Amino acid sequence: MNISKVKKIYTLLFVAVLFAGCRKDAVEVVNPDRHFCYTYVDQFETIWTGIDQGYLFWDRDTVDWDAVYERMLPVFRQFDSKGGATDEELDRAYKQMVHGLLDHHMYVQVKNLKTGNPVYADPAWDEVPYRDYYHYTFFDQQVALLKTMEGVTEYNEGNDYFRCYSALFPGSDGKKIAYLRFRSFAATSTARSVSYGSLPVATVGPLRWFYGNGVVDGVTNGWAGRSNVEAVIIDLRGNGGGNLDDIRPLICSLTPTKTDIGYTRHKEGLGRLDYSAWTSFSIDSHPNHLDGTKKVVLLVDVNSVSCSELSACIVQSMPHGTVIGERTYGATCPLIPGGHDMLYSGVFGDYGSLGYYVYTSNFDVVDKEYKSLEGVGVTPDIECLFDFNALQNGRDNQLERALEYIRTGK
Amino acid sequence: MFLAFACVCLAASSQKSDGTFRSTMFPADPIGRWNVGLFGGIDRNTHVVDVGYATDMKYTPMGGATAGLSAGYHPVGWLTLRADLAWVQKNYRLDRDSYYVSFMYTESTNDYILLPLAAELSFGRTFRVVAHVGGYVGYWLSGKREGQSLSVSYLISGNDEDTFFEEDYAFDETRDNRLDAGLDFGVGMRLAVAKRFDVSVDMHWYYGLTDVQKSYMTNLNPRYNTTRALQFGIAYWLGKGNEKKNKGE
Repeated sequence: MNISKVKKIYTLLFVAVLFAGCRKDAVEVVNPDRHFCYTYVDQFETIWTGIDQGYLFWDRDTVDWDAVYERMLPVFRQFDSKGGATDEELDRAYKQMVHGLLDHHMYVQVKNLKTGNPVYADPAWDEVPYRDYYHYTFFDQQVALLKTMEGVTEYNEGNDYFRCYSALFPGSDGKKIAYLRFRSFAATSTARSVSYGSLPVATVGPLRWFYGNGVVDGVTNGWAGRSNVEAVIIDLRGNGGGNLDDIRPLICSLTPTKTDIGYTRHKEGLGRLDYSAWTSFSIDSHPNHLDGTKKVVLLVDVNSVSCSELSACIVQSMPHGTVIGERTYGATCPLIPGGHDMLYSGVFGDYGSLGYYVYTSNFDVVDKEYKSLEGVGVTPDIECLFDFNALQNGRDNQLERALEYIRTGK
Repeated sequence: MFLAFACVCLAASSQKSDGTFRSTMFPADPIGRWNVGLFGGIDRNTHVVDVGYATDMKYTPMGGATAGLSAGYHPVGWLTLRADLAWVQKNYRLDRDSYYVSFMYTESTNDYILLPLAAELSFGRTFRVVAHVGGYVGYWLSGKREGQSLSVSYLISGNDEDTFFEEDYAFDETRDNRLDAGLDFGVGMRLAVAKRFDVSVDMHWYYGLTDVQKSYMTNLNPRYNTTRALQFGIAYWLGKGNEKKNKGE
């Protein structure tokens, strides 16, 4: 081999090695779940980064998150440079930061470094109250009417540990309608506490009346399963959601078949658009379930949130299921506590130790046509808007509509 | 495997029927000639990504297949300008090793079409050892994902049936950079097994220089593919040799 040939080979190899160094360097990012913040800018950047990397809806959210950073950074710099911010200023800044985000579970809680007070920002609150049918929840006023309604028997109520109510209404042809209302999805944990003796048995009285003695064992020997009951009503108006553990014994036990709801996915990496594959979202019926001949009616309103909305999706998928009421809140994508360690999305931070906390979803849920209901809510099969005048006159128009549907089929 | 193949080829083809050895196994007159061929083989791809604080996400290499067409032109005896049209799989696996989600995994199977262009340098006379250096451009044709994930169904009912998935990868125009380019370098051997036929074995390193994601967010860690391929091929020499030029070589 002559010298010039060797030179050519070395030149080619040199060029190859030169190009091999052309990969971009990795970016260093802090873990937003565990970051101590000593300045307003630090707090802002940590929260911005946590949402940037872990927020579930960047594939469809219309907020320009990079523009939010550019717009808001000078505001927080100014707080640092002038030695602090008032609670009102900080509150306003965080509300501006998260304004328009789709996630209706989300809220941001930040400690004001100067005053030590918390400020909150909740993007759903920029949307839900502006719906033309929006109203506050009138849970207490509505349950107060229950025992006064025509033909009601077997009225039961729980206690302040678990706000729950049950009753029996007359149905058609001498049959009955079993009714249950609860304020939150905490039945399973409450029933466990009762079985451990740490809560009085009366706490789950209405649940046992409706489902049977087991409660977490699905429908056993409760009124819902009796042969003279033609239909059941689960009233989730004003129900703010809670634990997913309740879904199967309380809702899926109302049908004998597996319920196909749609698909779910989660984040799978720190990139905004790093998603897992879609997996089927179906729930087996509970071993102790209704026989499938009874009508199942779910009552919802604009204050039905999270697990209440999932329940509405499930009941809409049941052959004998009907959802009546108003379009729900729109927080349809669930989350699990501690999920950030598993999925690098969802809830992050800790208010007590770190001075910030962000509550946000980590499971995307879509229906069988891949349509998302996040930020929209579940549209009922039969719409019946809340009537404040009726309530003032001692009537619950939505519950009356549900009873009418069961009795008449219309 | 590489060496074994070389030895077998060498032994099988270098001995004549009368027991003597051929004096020239590479065409004696390669200058100014083209060869065209087919190749196939196996590969192993490494998905290079910095997972940051997501430390339980472990990307591991996965095997795949490769096949294609090749063409080479010999302007001088020791140099071949080579162009391939290659189908190359760039597969990888993601595992999770934290306690609660250790069952989760994703196997990504990705099909690419590549056009490598390389300068191939030959060493030796009767038995050719080659080294090539060049680059490639390519396109990410399709992908599949299968594995096991965490599903809401599992959280609610404990039934893991819905945690398994298998899907065609849906490209996202905002996220996915389907254009691929990088370096292609490696080594190989050539052996003439008949008057116009060579068999070859090549080791390729496809060193991706393009991020498989577009730059769609500020703090985005890049992802690259590095693929090693072992290719077995056969090539056919076109035309006749130029005796005059070859004498000079």
